[in-house]
Amino acid sequence: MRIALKILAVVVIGAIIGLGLTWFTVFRGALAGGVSDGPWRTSLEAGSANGGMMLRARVAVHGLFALNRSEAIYYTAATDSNGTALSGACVYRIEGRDPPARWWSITAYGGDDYLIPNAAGIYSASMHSVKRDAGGRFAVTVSKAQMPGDWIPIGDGRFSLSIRLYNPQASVAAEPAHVALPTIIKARCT
Amino acid sequence: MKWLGWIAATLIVAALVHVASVIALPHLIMARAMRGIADHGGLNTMIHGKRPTSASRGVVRPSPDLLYSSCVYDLDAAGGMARVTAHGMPKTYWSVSLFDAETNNFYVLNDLAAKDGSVEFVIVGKNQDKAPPGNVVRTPTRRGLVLFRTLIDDDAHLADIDKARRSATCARLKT
Repeated sequence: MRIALKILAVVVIGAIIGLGLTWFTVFRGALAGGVSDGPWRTSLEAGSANGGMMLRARVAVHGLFALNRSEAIYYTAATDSNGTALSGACVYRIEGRDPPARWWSITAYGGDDYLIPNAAGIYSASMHSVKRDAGGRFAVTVSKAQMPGDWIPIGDGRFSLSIRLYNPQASVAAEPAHVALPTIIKARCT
Repeated sequence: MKWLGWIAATLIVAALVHVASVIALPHLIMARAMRGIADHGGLNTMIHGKRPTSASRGVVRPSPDLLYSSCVYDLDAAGGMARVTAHGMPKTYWSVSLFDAETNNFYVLNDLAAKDGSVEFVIVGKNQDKAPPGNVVRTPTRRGLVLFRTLIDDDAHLADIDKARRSATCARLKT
C-alpha cells in the first residue's frame, strides 16, 4: 500500500514537473530559437521541417502557419531598443528605413497574441502606409491615445510587435542579426 | 539512500512527460486549428476568411494586411487526391503554402513563381504510386492545410483583390 502511494506520488509529481517544464519552455518562452537584431528576435527555421521538436512546439503555440524563410521572415519584439518590456502605459516611436524586402509590415499584438481592439480599426503600419522624410526615414508612433501621423494603437498591459518581411533579400537570411530593422524608442510613460 | 531512487524515478517521469508533451503539442494544436476551419465549410473546401481584425480568434498573430483563404485537405475523405486551383489571382503579392499535420510547411508557391496568377496542382500521399499528369505535390501526412495569403497593397483595391482571390478552389480530385 505504501509502495503504491509512493509510485502514485512519483507519477503525479513527475507529471507536474514535466508539464511545468513544457509550459515554461514552450508557452512562456517567446518564439526565439536563436537570432536577435536589436529588440527584434527571429528564428530562421520557423516553418521548415527540420526545426527540431522544441522549435516546432514554439512555432505551433506562438506562430502557427509561419512561412519558410525564402518566402517570409518574421521578427518579434517584446521589448524596446533598451531591453525594457513593451507596455501599454508608454508611448513608443518606431523609427527606421524600409527593410530589405519586397513588402514589409509592423503589427501590434496583445498579450494573448491577437490583434488589439481599438476604435480606429488600425492594427499595423506597412510599406504602403508609412510616410517617409526626404532621407527615406519613417517614424510610427505606438500608443494607446491617438497620435497624429503614422500611428499603431495599443491597449493596456503588455504587448508585442511583429515585423514581417515578405520575399526578403538574400542578405536577411544570410545575416539575420544584421538587418537594418527599425528601432523602438520609448518616448514617455504615464 | 532509498529516497534517491524515488527522486530519480520522479525526474525520469518528469523528463518523459516533458518530451512527450512537446512532441504532441504541434499535432494537438494543428488538429484543433484544422477542426476550427473544417467546421466552417467541411474538408477539401476553400474557405475565404474575412480581413483579420481584433475579433479574429482562429489563428494567433494574423496579419491585418493579408486576406487568408484556407482549405483542410483530407486525402482519405477526398478518395485519395485533392486538387487546388486558382485562375485570375490579383496582381499583388500572394502565396499558397501547404502545412502537414505536424505544422511543417512543406510547399510554397508565390505570385512571382506562378504564371499569369494561376495555380494548379494535385495533392497526393507520399506513397501514392499512380499520380496524375501535371503538377503533383506529395504530402507527408494524409491531412493538412492549404493556405492562400493575398496582400492588400492598397485599401482602395480591397474589393477587387477580395473578389480575385476567391478564384482559389480546393476539391477532391474526380477520377
